[in-house]
Amino acid sequence: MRMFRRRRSEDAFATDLVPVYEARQWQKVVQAVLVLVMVSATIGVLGIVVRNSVLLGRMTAEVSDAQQRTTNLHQLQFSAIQLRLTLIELDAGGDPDAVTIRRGLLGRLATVVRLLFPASSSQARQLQEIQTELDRFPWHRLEGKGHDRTVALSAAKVLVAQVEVRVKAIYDVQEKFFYDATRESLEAKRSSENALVVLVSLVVVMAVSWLILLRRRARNRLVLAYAALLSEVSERRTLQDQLSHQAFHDALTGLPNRAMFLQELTATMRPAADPASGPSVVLVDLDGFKNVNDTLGHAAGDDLLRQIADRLRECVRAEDTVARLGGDEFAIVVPADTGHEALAVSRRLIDALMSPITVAGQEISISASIGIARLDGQDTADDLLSDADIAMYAAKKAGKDRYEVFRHDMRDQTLQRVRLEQQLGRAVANREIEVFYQPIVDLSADRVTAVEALARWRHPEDELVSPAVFIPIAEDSGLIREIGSDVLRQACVTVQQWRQTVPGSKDLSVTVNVSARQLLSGTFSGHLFDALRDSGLPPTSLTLEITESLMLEESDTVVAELARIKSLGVRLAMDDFGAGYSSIALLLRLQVDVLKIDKTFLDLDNREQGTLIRAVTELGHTLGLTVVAEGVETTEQLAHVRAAQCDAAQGFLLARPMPEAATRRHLEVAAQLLPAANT
Amino acid sequence: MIAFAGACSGSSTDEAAAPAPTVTVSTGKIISPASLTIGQAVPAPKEKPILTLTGKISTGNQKGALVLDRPTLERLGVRQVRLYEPWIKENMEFRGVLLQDLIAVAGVKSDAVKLHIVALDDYAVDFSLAEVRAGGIMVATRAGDGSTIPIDKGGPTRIVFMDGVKAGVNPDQWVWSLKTIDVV
Repeated sequence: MRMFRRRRSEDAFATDLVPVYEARQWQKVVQAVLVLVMVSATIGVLGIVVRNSVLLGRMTAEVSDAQQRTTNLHQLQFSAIQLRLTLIELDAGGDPDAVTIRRGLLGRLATVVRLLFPASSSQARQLQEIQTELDRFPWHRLEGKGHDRTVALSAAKVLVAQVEVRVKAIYDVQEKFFYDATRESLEAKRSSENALVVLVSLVVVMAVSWLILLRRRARNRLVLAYAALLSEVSERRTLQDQLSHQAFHDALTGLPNRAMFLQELTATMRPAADPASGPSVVLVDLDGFKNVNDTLGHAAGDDLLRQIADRLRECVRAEDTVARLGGDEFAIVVPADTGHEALAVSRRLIDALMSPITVAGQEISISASIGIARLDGQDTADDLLSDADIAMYAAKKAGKDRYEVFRHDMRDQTLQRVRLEQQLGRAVANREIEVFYQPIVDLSADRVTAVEALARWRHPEDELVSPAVFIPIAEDSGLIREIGSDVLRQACVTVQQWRQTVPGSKDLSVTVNVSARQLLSGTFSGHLFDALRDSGLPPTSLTLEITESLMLEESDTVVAELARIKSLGVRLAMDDFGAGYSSIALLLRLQVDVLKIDKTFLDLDNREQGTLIRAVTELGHTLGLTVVAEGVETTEQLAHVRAAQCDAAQGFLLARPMPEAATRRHLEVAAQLLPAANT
Repeated sequence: MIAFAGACSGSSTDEAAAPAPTVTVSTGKIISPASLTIGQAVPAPKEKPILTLTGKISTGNQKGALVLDRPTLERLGVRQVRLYEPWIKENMEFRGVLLQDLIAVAGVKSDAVKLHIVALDDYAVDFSLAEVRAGGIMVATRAGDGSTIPIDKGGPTRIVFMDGVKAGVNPDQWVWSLKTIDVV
């Protein structure tokens, strides 16, 4: 049996364990979001970095080129200036060779610089033009003399000055480009660095978050493994299970409550890999617990439940879970039932309940009706429990103090029963319960001296519903009290009316059935008194039929109630005498006036029939009781009954139960025939 | 194909002890063999000088400097090579003498470490002697067709590097219109 109070240390990790399941969902979401953010951030940042590095690579090359061009343009410009200076020196009588050298150097540099630019570029074109102009210039005229040389020198100076200006223009543009390219590449570099910083930060944040989650998951896995090792504790445990013991346990018995029971059951149903060893549910419903509560008080009832809980705990194995579902209903989860375990538990339970329980100073016997349902295709714990409930119902119906194993056909019966119960409730409210009367014939006078009032349910669709069907339902549902008092009232009024109006019926008495439930309610004698007063029926003309089963529920309430009834002058009849176990002492103690022999005696074969009826009748007479034979259906039976000297008889042979109007007619006809019969 | 392993023509003893990195370069076909070798006196220039060596050299022909005209320079042995010219950005043919032969003939002193090369426009670069002795550096005196190189094409002499020579990777080392080589 699962311990409902776990050790403190176990609690500690079990509480820790809970967020695994609580958090599993949000963890997944968080992880998904983290992955998403991380992936998109990485893509974004990498995009920037890649773009920038491509840009930077291009820029670096461009800057490098630009730098080279700029430097060389600068040299070219300088070279032009030097040529101009050389020309000026030549004017002042310098070396013509120097001019040749400078011109050559300028040309060489112009070529080199031009080749630094793409051939199609404007710079290349301009530099080509400069070169061409330098090449076409008649430099040899500088080596001449006189005016021609002077003119050539002046022209050379102008040409070189123009070259200088043009190179300067190219240089300026190139310089600007160089600075722009440098700035752009620096910006790209900075942007890349920023993006990388962002990426690194993100990665760090992600990694930390991830680690936390991983740690949590890893820890939980460890805890799970440890927990499973310890006591097969697995996922089924929940936060509430651990944190609020009370929410999942019955305060009275300390057993797990319905909610926890369903959880446990669900948990055992889940890993049903082997269908041959699924869990079973054993549903235990105490028989007649309500009587204990009603007669001994709630404190005694609670005490009884605690003691029952203890006995249940002793009957189950360590792996079974006992729970109190509510009221006097207990349930046991038998995990991995191969078909024997649940039955064994049930047998042990019934045995354990056989020894009396001392409650409030009294020894009482209590039994249980047990329903067993094995996992067999049920989807939910509720379904399985419902099947066990149906089986338990079947056990109750079969006579209580036993177990029944669920069968599928039970379900239909139960459904019908539930439907009937609902309809019966409506029928009672709508006064659809009718009173029928069955005449009882005095065998010495051969006349109807009494009628038995019987409740009949005239169902709107199915016409009359058999009392055998609806009375047990009424008993179980508690409707019997309303039906009983209603029938009692009607019977008193009707029979008193007949006594006053039907000739020959002024001594007519009436017999009304009273159930244990009615007597136990403690309010029955009050209703009885009201019915007698309101109808005017003399109490001595009323007989209340009680059953032997009432003896099983013997209690002070019942005894006191019966004493009050007797004190009013109302007679008592023991119904169905001989059907169960008979206690002569009880007959005396309850001051029974009438003994009604159960009709099973009449069903026996002729010889035994006569003997037994005679014996019972003699017994009744010995005790000073009036003896009535029930269920007389044949003339032979009637002959036996007569021979046994029964005082009265009733049965289909004499008269069937009839509606009020028909009974009245029957009485009227009998009264007319009576004088003739007597004469 | 000749594999130059450093001290092929070096006069210094330290070169042999520490072999320079092996490079495989083409030194081209020989147009005219060397007629001026190590230890020979170098005559003074008869024509217009095209290159002057100064500094730590033992073979001078004019006040301690080695002043060379084209015929004298080309007596070091003219080779023709085809190589990639990084400024013009195409493969070109040059004729000229190996720089390592030039410094060998010039008799670079043992305490010298580098060559400080100055162009006509006073542009200057430095070559380490190790780089030079590793080979593959040419003092070009002519174009591939045998014509002299005008100044506006980088002449009259210029430094070119055979393909694959490490020192030539940087185009700035490709000095043109040489004026002097100062051994320091």
